Amino acid sequence: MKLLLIEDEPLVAQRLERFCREILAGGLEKLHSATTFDQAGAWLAENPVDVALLDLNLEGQDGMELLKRSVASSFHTIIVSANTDRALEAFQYGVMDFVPKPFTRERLAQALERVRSPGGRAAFAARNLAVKKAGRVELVAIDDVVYVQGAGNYSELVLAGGRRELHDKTLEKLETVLPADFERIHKSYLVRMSAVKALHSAEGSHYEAELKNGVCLPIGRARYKELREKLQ
Amino acid sequence: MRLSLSWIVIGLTGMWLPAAWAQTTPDIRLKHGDDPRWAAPDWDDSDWTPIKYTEFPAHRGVYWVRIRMIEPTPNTPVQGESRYAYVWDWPGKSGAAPIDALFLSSVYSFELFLDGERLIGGGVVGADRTSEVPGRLDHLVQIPEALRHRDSHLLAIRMSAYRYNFPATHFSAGFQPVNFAQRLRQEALQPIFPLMGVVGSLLMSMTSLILFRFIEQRRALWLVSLVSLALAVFYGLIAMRWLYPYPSDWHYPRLLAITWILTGASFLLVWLLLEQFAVSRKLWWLGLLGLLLAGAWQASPIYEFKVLWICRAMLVVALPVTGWACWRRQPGAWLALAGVVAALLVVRAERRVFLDPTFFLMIAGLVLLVFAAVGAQVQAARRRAREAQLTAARMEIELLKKNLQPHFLLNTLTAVSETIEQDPAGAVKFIDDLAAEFRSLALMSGERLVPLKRELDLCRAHLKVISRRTGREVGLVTEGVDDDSLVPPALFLTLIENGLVHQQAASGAAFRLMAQPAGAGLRYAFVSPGRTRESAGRPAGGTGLRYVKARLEESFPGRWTFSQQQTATGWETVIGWEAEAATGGAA
Repeated sequence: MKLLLIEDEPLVAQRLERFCREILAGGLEKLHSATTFDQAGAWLAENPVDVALLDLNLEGQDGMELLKRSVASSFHTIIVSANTDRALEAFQYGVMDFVPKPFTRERLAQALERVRSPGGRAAFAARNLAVKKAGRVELVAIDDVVYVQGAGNYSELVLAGGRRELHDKTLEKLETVLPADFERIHKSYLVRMSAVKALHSAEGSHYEAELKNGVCLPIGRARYKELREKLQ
Repeated sequence: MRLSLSWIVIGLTGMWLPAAWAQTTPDIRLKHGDDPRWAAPDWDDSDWTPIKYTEFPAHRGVYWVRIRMIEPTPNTPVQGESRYAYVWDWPGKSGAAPIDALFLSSVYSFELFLDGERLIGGGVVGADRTSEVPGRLDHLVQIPEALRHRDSHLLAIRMSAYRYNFPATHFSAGFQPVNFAQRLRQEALQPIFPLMGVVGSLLMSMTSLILFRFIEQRRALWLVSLVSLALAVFYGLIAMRWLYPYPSDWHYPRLLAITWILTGASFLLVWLLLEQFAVSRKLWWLGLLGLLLAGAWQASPIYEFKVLWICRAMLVVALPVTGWACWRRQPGAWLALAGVVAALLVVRAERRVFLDPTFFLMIAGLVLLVFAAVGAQVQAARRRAREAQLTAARMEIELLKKNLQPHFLLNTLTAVSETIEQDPAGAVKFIDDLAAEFRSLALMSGERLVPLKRELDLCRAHLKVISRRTGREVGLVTEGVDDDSLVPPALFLTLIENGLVHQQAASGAAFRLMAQPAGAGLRYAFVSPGRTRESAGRPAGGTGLRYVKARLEESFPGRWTFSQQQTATGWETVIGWEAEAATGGAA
């Protein structure tokens, strides 16, 4: 796992680094510390990261803008901050966890476990997804998302009305932060179950989900039975 | 010149004597000496010296004056205003109250004979100042019934004027045929306006004094009190003529006193406006007023005109002062400007006398409006103070939150947690430093002003905690400060917090606090070291600066200054205040 720590207070950064090394042990591929948003941005531009541990207040500066950029990126974000009053806001943007200061190794391990385990999900589901558009970050309300289509290292959000937005996260990573209403119906599709009208089986063991907007999406063979039970 | 001299008559006699009347009465004849036969109407005075009504000699022994008064007929050529008394008011003319009395004001001792009959005397006529006894100033005497219906009259006056105290060697004298009842009523009404002025001014003076003593110790308020007191004396001196029938030789000193009092009141009124609206270069304005007032004293020998010119001089200076205050949108300034403009309109014409009600209304209106302007300013200042108190209370909570808020505390505790694991002994010192900061803060959190030493202790305790957290040593050095001087609590702590957030200070750098006296107050320059983080400079006002300004306004309402700028060594904030209560000033 590649980690980026963004923390301006050296004692806190030392504590984070020590705990991360202890928790991840051999699973830690790389760990880099940044003390400013600029340093963090420069590192992210050049290096792949799996998880960013972000303080929301660096030397008095508000970290929400960086948070929006962070959650719009391909990696997961864990907030480590004393600003607990902003935890809900952070979760709305799709962070994996919010670790309040002062923190213990156990609490940090819990947060990192959400990222590490295959079925791990965010502590609270996001209500918005941040997407990068022309150098800026825009928020898309998850309530508007009908389904998500995987596109290699990216994902495509398909919104009510047909508009499509590209997201930097893979389908797997998005699945961890989206509400439980979204189901993985196929290796390339995440669908809001409330948007599904019916499931159809076709010849040759082909299955389709017909959405209320008329769109039909393929269903993985192994997922059909479970989905049918959920719909019933 | 003739017009001015005619006003001398008014000044001396207090009545309207048309100049034209004097011209149409060619027969005023004077003879030095004393002979009771000269009172006779048919005495041959052809060898007497003809004089004008302005040529009555002063300090020249006993003399007689004979004046022929002719009742004009409808065909009599009448010049100017002379017609009003004779044609309309003389007995026998329809619609007018009949003339049955003579009114005169004398600055001399006299015996007056009408058609040979002695009507009245004023004092004792004397051959020198010792033997002359002054009489009352104003005289109203009824004309005997038998004399009222004659076509012409001969007025003979035996007189001496050693007690005439004016500087001039000659004086004017007038004799006004009047209706006795009408004139009595008129004389009874004369003191009403001045008396109202006395009572109103005294009330205003007392009110201002009480407000100054118990409500707001503002210099403008005691100046209002002084101006009102001066005006009460001014009105009292005017009313004195009817309330206390003083001897005629008091007339000149009384006029002199009236003029001086009004000069003083004018000076005080302009000073009041300068103080009230915090006009800079007060001495310059007062010097200009002094010059104009000196000019007003020279503008005319007539005391009524002197008073008029004094008012004009005062208003000419008051106009730009109040206009400037209006332009600066100072509270109540438009009230004062309205008063000045209205007063200027009143004094624009040269027809004013002391008894004219508009004069009293002008003075009273002006002072009332200026007083109202002071009231508006006091109200605005109190509102500002209330708001400042509320803001300060909010800011105090903000300040406590800043130090006790979860973010500060939890970050510090996280750092403490790590220090405990890395260096237990160091963690104990860390906790001691944190406790020292909280103790300092608790000591001053409810205070309005604290000694600078306590403020500096708090700042240094905070810097210690921050240094332990960040690993950067940032100090605080002072220059020329007085540990006992009083400052609003957490004033410099807030500047330090702002400096830590907005400046990139290298380890080993230090904040600098420099104090220097500034007039009656203090001036502090505070430099936060390092380069400003934001490329566009610091934000104009955040919670910290709002706190600083609210605290300054609370402790030094209206008399503090605040400025900040980037310098070569860091970010400089300059704060100053006046120590003593005074009006004006702002951030």
